[in-house]
Amino acid sequence: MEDWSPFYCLPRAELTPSGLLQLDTTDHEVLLLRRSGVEFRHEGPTPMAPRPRGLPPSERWKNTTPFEMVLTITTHRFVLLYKHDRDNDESQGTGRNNNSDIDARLVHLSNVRKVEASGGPSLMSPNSSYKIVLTTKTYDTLVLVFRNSIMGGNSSRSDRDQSLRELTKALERKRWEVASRLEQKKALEASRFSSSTLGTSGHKVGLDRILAKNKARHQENAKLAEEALSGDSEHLLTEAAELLKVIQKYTVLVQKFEGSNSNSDDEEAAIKLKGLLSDMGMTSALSQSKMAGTGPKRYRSGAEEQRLNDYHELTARQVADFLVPRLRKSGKGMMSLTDVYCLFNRARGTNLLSPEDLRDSCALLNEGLNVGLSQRTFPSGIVVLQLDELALSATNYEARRRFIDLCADGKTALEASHSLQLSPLLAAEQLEEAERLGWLCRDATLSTVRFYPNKFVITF
Amino acid sequence: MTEGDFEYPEFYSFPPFFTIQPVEATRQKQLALWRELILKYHTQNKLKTLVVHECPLWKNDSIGRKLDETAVRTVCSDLVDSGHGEWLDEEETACRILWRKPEELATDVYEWASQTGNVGGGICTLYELHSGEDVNGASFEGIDEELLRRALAILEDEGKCTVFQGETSSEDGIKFH
Repeated sequence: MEDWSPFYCLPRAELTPSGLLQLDTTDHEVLLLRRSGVEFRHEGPTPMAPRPRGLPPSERWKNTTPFEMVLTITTHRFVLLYKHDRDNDESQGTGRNNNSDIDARLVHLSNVRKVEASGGPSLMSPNSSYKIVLTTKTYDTLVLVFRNSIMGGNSSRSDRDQSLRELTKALERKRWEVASRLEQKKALEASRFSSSTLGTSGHKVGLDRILAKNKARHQENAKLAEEALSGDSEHLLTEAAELLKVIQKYTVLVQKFEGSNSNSDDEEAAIKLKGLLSDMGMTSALSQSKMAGTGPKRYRSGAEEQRLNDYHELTARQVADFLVPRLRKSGKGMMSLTDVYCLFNRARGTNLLSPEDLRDSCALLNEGLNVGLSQRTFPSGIVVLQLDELALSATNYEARRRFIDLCADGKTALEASHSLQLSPLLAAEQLEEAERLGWLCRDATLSTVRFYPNKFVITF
Repeated sequence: MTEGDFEYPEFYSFPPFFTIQPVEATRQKQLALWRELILKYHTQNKLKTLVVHECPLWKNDSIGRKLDETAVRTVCSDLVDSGHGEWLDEEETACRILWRKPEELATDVYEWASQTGNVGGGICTLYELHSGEDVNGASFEGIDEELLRRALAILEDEGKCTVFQGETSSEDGIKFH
């Protein structure tokens, strides 16, 4: 913690293992927009929070957090993300988990009273930057300053405008209240129904009763029509919430299928269902334009290059979040990039990723993202993504033992592919890699190549 | 001892032994094993030359493996490079097997001479050195004369023996100092 600044007064936001924002899917939180190059300021009579204990006296309260952060807006909150520079922060270099390098802080939208645009060049101050001013209930006034203009172009203005639009929309929608409102409504309806039936039956009889009943029905219908025509998407959203509930029910069902592992028919059904669910899942699949607002690719300024890079990093983290648990669970440890492309796009369902974007994103995996997944190109030219902990290396003794045991009586790539749960092509690559490491040796005959433990080095 | 009595080492029935290994470090170990096998085989059977096309070592019928032609060439040139073999012809079809390198042989001969009391004393002939009764069991028993001469030349250079011209080459006399 370098400074005592507004950023550090906010509560931390939860992140996924590869450093993406963890969305509250039980409350149907959806990612709306992401913009980089944002400065965060606080305006008020006193600092946002009391001075933390243990802070050196040289550190003073600063009203602004001067570094460039990434702003993420969801239906429930906005989150500021700051990535520590690894070089400056040696103490955190040891952690495998990337979360220590990324600091994310959130402001829940329920805390925001009012949001307005401000700033922008004018006659009086031609260099004024584009800002969003948020009046909050507990933090006085917060200001988001959009700084992307430094790198050229007027992107900061569109950044500001788009962010403002999303924030305003989210504030109007009050998505975080939907769940509780829905319950209230249900409770109200239930009580009204019981009281009305009791009331009519208690006092009215005969024709009077029929008339009253008709009247009540008309009222109900009118209310329904009004609701339907009001054009509010809220109703639609509540419907969607019901749908999500159904989906969640199926998810549990799928897990049960997988757990019981009963017969192949059930499993097939589970796989099918899982595919369907994946289509509906991954609600945070942002398109490139939503993520950064890049124009057509043929024209790229420095700023756009930066944004594209941001987008690729985000995608790389998404791929890691998606793939790491799957690879770990299946015990495969690797998957060819082509398969990743198919599976990942299948899971996204919409906003499909272009092959080029996936390639560029996955190339970033090797550049210090440290998410437990890395890209590897075999000498044959096949590109795979593999789990770091299952990667073959001279120091990975467990893998060494595994391969030596596997090939004890000689194994072809095809035979090994069964126990490695890889395609024969990838199994062959793995065996050859193990051979290069001196774990295995080969017996090449006219018909096939068989791998044996390298007894030349081990035994003889 | 006949060829049939030769006891093959364990690695001779290890299938990968008959495939030249592509990985450098592994191949070095493998070729060292081949050298060891060839020398042992030829020493024990008292064979002085290896005829490339006739050597039975290249093939192990019990596991159905054999070295292919390029592999045989690799093994043979490694043997020559290591100093344990010498091509007898330009076409490289036959190879003299140096059971011991001349330097090692020279040491052996001198050691034998001191043990049998020949140092500073009597004179023995070249024939006696490779086929005499006293050399029974020595590493140079039955060795090629040519090789023995090389070893003696080394000893002469070191001043440890003198070679006298005899009537025939086998009757050359050696005096150890």
